[in-house]
Amino acid sequence: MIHFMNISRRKFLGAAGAATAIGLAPKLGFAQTPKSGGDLVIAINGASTANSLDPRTFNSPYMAVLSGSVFSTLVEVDGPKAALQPGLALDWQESQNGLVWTFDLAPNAKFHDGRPVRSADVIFSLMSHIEEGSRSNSRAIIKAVDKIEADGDHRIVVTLKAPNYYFPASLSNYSLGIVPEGTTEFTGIGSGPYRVTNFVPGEILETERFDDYFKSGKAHVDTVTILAANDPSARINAIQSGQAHIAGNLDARAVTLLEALPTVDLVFQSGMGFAGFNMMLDRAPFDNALLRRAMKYAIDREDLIQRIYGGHARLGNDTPVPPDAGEYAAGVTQITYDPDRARDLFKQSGHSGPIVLQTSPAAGAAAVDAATLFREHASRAGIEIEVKREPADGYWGKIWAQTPFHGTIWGARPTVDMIMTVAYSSSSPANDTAFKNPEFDAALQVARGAPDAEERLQASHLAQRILNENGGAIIPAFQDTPEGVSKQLAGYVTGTMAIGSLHAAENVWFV
Amino acid sequence: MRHPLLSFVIQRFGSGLLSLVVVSVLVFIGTAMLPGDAAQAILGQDATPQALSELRQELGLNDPLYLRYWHWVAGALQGDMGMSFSSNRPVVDVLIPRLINSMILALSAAAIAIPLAIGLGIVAALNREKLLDRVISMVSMWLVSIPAFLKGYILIAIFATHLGWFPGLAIVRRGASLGDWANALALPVATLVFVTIAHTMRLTRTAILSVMASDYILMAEIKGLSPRRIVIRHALPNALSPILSISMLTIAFLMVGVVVVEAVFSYTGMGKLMVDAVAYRDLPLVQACGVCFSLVFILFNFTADFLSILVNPRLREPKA
Repeated sequence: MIHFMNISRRKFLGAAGAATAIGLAPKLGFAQTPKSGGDLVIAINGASTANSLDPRTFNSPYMAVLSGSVFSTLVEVDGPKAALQPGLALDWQESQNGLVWTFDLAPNAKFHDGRPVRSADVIFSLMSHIEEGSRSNSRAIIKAVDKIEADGDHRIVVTLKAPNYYFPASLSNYSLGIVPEGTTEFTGIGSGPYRVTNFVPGEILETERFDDYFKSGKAHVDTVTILAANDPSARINAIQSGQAHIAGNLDARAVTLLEALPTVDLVFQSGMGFAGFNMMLDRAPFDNALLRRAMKYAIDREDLIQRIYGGHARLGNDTPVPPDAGEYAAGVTQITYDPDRARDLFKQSGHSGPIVLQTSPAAGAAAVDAATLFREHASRAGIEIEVKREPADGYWGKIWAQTPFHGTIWGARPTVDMIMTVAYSSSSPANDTAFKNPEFDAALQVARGAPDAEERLQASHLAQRILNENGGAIIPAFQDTPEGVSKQLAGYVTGTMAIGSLHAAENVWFV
Repeated sequence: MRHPLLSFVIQRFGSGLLSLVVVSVLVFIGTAMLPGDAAQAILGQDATPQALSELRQELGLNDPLYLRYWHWVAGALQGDMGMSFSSNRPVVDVLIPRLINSMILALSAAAIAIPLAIGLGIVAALNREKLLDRVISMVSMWLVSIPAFLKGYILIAIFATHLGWFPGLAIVRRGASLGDWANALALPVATLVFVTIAHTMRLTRTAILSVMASDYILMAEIKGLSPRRIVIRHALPNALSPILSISMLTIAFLMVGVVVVEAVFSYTGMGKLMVDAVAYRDLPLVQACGVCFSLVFILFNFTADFLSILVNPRLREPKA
């Protein structure tokens, strides 16, 4: 039915298409000057009635995009390479070999209530993430801080517990938005480009341009509205019907439909997030290194990328580092599908019988499809996988990091160091394969703290090699997530986070 | 002798109260039986053992089930529905706007669907076994046999995507005018009208036709009255009681049974709220939704029966 409609619409719009193309032509021209005005509508998932405007509680795409529109972080990232950009901190320098970091704050920055942004506000905001009972996803970042001191109203000096050259990058995390010192009632007072005029958790955010925004030449549209569109079809529906100008985290299966839309540009967000399969190292059967190796050769990654992600994904090598990341260890041989080798390794491992793989839509919309495909690949190597679909409810408590073989998903973290540390360092409570490897932990420390950049890079490569060879995670691919952007908009730059690195609101304008 | 209407009201009040208690116990036990608890649901992938135990303490999840139920009842009796676990706001603050949204959607749909369905039912009855009757029956059967969500998507495909007349997402902004509301609600209301119209239409038709089989109608026919007059003046009043019941139940259904339509149009009503609350194991909110839903059903059921008594003199008078 839908398909039929699509064809008829295309025919119908065929004549109109040519006319529209002429109308849109100016957009293709160079040296565009941003135009002011218009009401931007963004549709994104992850909204909930549980949401609050306390940045420490931000933990979903919806709240991340809200954060990028309403709040400012010290450091920002942008573009597909996640290049560091100044946020509230215009500049930063390290001293004592990466142990001490000095951040110079924008002197003209103001909060939405008119107060200036001072060092004290920044210190208050950052330190609040490690208050008792804080459930912030930036807790680990700030826990690495020994002390923060103000050097005047517009400079802070951060002393870390251990050297970390990734520290400025990690401050781009969207939950580290700066609020005025002493805030207890979180009403959305930040220093970002748009100020909140109406926020209904789980429904809608409405904002208007903040005239005293500290960056010049930004924030072109008059108002920004973020629609809660948790349902994948609701997001497609919103961008297709023109109700939203930008829709993020779209379904890979809808790519063909989106490509055919005359009013929408289809772009891809290339993040470090990934979905994979966890083999728990601390228990049978995957305490057996040969069996783990067999499984890694038993999955056809290229086929999975084609079938599950429609070709829009980058190859994974069982480390959380995608091939386009600066730290990617190209020297580590890519594991490829080799049923014969997998069969031999499986025999050598001494394991027999089927292996249960538990997964759920909680671990990604395509998690069950991916597991089923894995089963087919493995069966050609004589390895029998039994896919068990678990309910999404309670998946993170009962299955994930609990059962021997299960599906996992990790959202993008600001740095390679963070995802490696959170997911695989021995002391991390979220280490979901029970990977405990002192050599790996040591390599991570060097990779973030050695004064020499080349030494850091080599250590990161070593850590990736160890994970690739000994780790329990099968990471077949990094998805390029489709996003829809209305052809009425200009200035949109895709990034490693949804909705133009979360900052589309201040960057786009209507042509 | 007591007045039959009064005793009816008292009796129904009692049974309604009992139903509410039973529903609240069932919802409470049902939610508690689901895998995982509010602490796990809220923390998700960030659930470290320490964070879990802190949050459980904070939410009072360590108390035994009966004690938690008792606390809830004690609060509810004093009008305090508790705090929502997931949003940390009073349940009432979360619930009321959603309830209003649901009522707006349901009543708009009912205001169109019920008169339309009764009208069509009468037309079908007047033209029994003729072409018009067959067409009305066939189209309504057709509409009822398409699942609600598909009807919603078909309407979106035609009216939102292709024609661009109405928005595909029924999101109403603050300070929206009546026109904005009508525009936003057009498609979900249309979907709901299609969902409910067939039942009411067919029931009206059947009710009128069954009355039409009685002797006094034959008498009227022999007297030479026009079919229109017979149906409207003589048959309809006697068929009113089943029609009123189904209308009331239709409204009740529209208030509580439209989760799928809410999901298709991203409309923020009660149904979606309860689904989200269950996902978060937000017991106070689930409870409040459950009680609210059953209250709606009990009230409309009661109204339906009450109205049937009122319009039927035979039920109004005490039995001899």
